[in-house]
Amino acid sequence: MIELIDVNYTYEDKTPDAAVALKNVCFSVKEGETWGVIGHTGSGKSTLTEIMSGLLKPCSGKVLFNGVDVTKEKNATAVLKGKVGLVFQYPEHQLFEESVIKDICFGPKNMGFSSEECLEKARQAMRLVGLDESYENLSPFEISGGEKRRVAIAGVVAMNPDVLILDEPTAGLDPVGRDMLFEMLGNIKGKLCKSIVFVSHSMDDVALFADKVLVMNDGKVLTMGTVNEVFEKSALLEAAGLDVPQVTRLIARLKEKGHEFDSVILTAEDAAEAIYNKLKG
Amino acid sequence: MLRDITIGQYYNTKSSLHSLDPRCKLIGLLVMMVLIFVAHSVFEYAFVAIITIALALLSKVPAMYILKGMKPVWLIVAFTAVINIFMGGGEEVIFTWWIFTATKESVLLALSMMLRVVLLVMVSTLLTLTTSPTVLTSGLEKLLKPLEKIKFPSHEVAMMMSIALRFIPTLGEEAEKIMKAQAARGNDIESGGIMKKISGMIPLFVPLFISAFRRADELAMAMECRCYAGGCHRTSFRKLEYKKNDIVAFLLMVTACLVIVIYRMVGF
Repeated sequence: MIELIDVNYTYEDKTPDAAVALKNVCFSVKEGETWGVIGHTGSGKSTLTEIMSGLLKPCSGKVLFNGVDVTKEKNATAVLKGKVGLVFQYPEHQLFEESVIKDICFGPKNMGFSSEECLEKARQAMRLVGLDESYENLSPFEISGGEKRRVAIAGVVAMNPDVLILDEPTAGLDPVGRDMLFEMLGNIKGKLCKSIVFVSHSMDDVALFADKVLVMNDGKVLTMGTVNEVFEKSALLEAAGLDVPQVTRLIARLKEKGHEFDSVILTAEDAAEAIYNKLKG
Repeated sequence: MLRDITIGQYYNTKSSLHSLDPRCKLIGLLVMMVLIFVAHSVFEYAFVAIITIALALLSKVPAMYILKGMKPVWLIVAFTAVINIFMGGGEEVIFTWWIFTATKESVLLALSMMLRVVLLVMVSTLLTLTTSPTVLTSGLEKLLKPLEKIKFPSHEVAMMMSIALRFIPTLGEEAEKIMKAQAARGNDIESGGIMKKISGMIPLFVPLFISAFRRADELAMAMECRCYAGGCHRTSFRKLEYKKNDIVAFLLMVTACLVIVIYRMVGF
């Protein structure tokens, strides 16, 4: 669906403050995939999300959406409107309307839908993020932080994008909030969006929710592949200063001690089962 | 878009102009402003223009960067020029169009006004380009110190200024982030009529104001938590001291003033 070919991006190009954010990035998202993007602060993750949604134009390289090169378009955001939805970091800071429902309607309204269609899309989005009708007429400034974030995500989901991109959706959430968020994303992916790309700092989040992983380091793609493939390369990840999920590390230690495990283990449940089977012999 | 505004921005090239004492540069700006305003003959205009260009060269900031930062000013310059050409009186008519008449005097007046505005903006831009905000405010604080005798809160004013300057880039970044976030939701402020553009601003300004107030609140709280109290004879981390270069700069300022004064008195 989205394909990045040899994308380079430099902030403040041709000034002394020039900062290279992306170097020769090739990356593609196919229908039905859930990608987790990991990397250090400043590794180019956020820039990548903005390029994928057409907000930034790459300095060189191509961005293809369903085979069409959007970098050639004058207004890439307009072309990708309603096709690629981007949820920024701390999206709750962008709320502005007087009621929750109006704020969620903002996106569909800009896409030119009638008010009834907007309301319908907004209500569907609210259900998907787990907000009931009682929230509709509340001010987005009087609800809690976690609810604000849901409203903001619903605002993007209401545009029915094919690909939903989220920049650190779990930042500042407690473990319960995090679990609820991923459950919500699972719902959205099943019902509305075909693919999801999310940026995260936490390996555990990626292991839990993504099926493919892209590892960024210093503006370059360090490695990518399925979750198992990537976390198998724990030495490479550690060299880049990144961790593997806690459970994977535990299993790696057991392997060092001479215990044999046949597959890469990413979640606590799998680990428990594998260790149980091992003990049983 | 917002990154293009270079007025009030610092551009470090480590030139000799950068290393001057901020007080020296502030006084220099004042002197230049006075000179630009009193200039009224070709020689005087050429003199101040040459000084300004020399300063710009001395700063080692790329000329394109300075000119790009003046982009918003060009409109004002063009506007004053047009007004001056057609509204100034004078005898020698050059051409007439409808009810507008341009005279030799008015064209000259327009040209000199244009030059004045451009030079003024250029010297003040040079000050901020070569002086970091923190240094600038501490210089201002020192310069205003004598006014404390008449109960002028110089430290507080300097503090307010430095906080304001400090938050320009932060709010700029924030504005850009919000613009992008709303653009991702299909907010379009580039096209459409004036009403559509204005209504497209609401989704930007409401979150921006909310975040500005939140930041102000957080900052005040953080300062209070560290027991900040203004104006109680605080010492500064970096002491400002006049060096040899500053003395040279002061001498040059005096010379520049003398040149104008002598020129007026002798009146070549």
